Amino acid sequence: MLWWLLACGPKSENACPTSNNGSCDEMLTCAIGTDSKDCDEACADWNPSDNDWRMAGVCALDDGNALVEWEQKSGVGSGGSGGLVGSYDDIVTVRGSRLSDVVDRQYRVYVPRRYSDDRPTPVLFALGGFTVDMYWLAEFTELNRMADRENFIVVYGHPEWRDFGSYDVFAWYVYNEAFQGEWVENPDIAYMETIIEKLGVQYNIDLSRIYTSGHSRGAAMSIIAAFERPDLFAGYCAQAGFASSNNYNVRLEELAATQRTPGVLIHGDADPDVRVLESDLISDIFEDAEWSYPDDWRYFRIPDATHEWQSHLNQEMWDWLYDHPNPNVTRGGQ
Amino acid sequence: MMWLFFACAHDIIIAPDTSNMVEIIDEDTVFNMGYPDLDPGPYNNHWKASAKPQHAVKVLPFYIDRTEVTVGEFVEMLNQLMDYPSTLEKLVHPLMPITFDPETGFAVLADNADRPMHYVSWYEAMAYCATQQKRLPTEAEWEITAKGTDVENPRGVPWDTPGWGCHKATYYTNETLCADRPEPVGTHPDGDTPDGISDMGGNVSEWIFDWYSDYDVDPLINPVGPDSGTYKILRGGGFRESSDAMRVNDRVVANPKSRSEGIGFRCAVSSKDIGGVE
Repeated sequence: MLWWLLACGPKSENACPTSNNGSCDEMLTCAIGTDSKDCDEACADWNPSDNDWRMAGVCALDDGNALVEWEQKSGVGSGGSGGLVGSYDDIVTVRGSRLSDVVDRQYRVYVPRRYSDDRPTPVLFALGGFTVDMYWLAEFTELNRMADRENFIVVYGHPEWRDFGSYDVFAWYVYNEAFQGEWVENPDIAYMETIIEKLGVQYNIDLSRIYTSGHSRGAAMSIIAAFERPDLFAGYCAQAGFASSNNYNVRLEELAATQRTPGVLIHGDADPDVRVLESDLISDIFEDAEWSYPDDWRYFRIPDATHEWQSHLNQEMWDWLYDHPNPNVTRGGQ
Repeated sequence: MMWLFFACAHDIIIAPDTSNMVEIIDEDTVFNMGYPDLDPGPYNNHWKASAKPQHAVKVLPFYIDRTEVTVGEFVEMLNQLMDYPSTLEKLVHPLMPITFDPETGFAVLADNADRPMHYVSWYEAMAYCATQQKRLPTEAEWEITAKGTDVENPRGVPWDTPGWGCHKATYYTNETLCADRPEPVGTHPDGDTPDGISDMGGNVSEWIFDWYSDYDVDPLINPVGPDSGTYKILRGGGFRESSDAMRVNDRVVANPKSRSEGIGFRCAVSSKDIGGVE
């Protein structure tokens, strides 16, 4: 029960003396919300271009009823509790390029302030491009503000500092020659899995809504992770990503024939660094596998956009991903 | 046309109070809305596609709040509606910085009275403005307020003096947060617009009336956005956003049901609706 109801009078939604007279009288002769029946009917025919600003406010309150349904979507909680809120850095110890290697790897977490142990909270990994570390990603992606609005945890991934011959650089393991093992044994997947395990103890995360996202090389990694571990990841968003230059497209064709890992592709058609044809190819693979568009994947091919994270699509990206929970996850923590 | 209201018992019927508002009036001005199609930047980057193409817009005179609506003002409105629990049910959310006591009604959570109302959805913001006989500003109104009516020299940020910094706005400087929560409205007069409107950049992102859609190239008169849509628009950036979000052209799409510590609003009203220029 709402906490003020006991103290308030019993007046109903139709407390206006002229309610039910066929005319919406809210904010004319009656308080807002007191002539609901008449105003509901009036709002059904109201449009912004009518320039009737009184009705704009009245109808907004009417539409606000949808809030209850929106906030009650369920998830599969990990059962954790007691984590920090806000932004902080942490370390996990995981395998390196060789199975026998053990390395410490950092990550940055952003937990929205409205986080509560009472409700399973989704997790979104954000992986930067070649040479990009975790420190710059929040500004680059603008995902913290999305996390605040939609109440999910962001993990900004930190690639391993790797020897590229004449130089060292931060880079994801998107070429399987660079590590020991099969694709599914990718060190970066092990890194993300370990972070998830740790977060699941610290927070009540929604195990059915853990997503990967990334830009450029990080986008390629987000695709690999989501397709290799559909038990772990519900889906992905790949911005300016690729699958052919590392031959993962061949693997993708195999996997797409038997599993539909949902995801969002975003790519600017003026991208000089990773050509838009890379995302075209990925989209074609899903089409050839007779996936259902836009239910199984979405593709935003942005005119004139270059090699950037398209933050103006963050909301659409998140809404689409959120509506695709992981069907492989049905049981949570204790 | 003057709005006239007749008060009944318990009802909150008032004419819009424009004492803390600024009238933006330049009937002949046609301003360029959106981001110009400039050459790519040093990293071959273009500005966000959502802020282009630049297009001509004429805005009819309107008043806009000098400050973001505060928690104190929102609570005052709630207490005026105490007789209507079914209305309050749609206006109150547990995340809001308010408390409730059966004896005394709603109150501001400590130290929040002068801070901008936050954790407020688009619907609640719009309804609040309606209770004041106002509304949320349209996107064109917000942009011309921030950009100025000087078509030849539009501002890139709300203030017209050189430089950035925490003395002008509450945002993330790419090195530090100016503040770890929204600051009391009007804290940084150095960042006011020349018209004296505060916090158009930073503090909290502000809900806009319009549904989001891509810009059209055609000239528009007093646009209010499409009749329906999925997302509303946020403008101005909040205390956790970087400087990009404070640019006068920056627009962000948001689910109207979403709420955040970094989202608030201010109200506007058409001049013609308070007896001004038709």
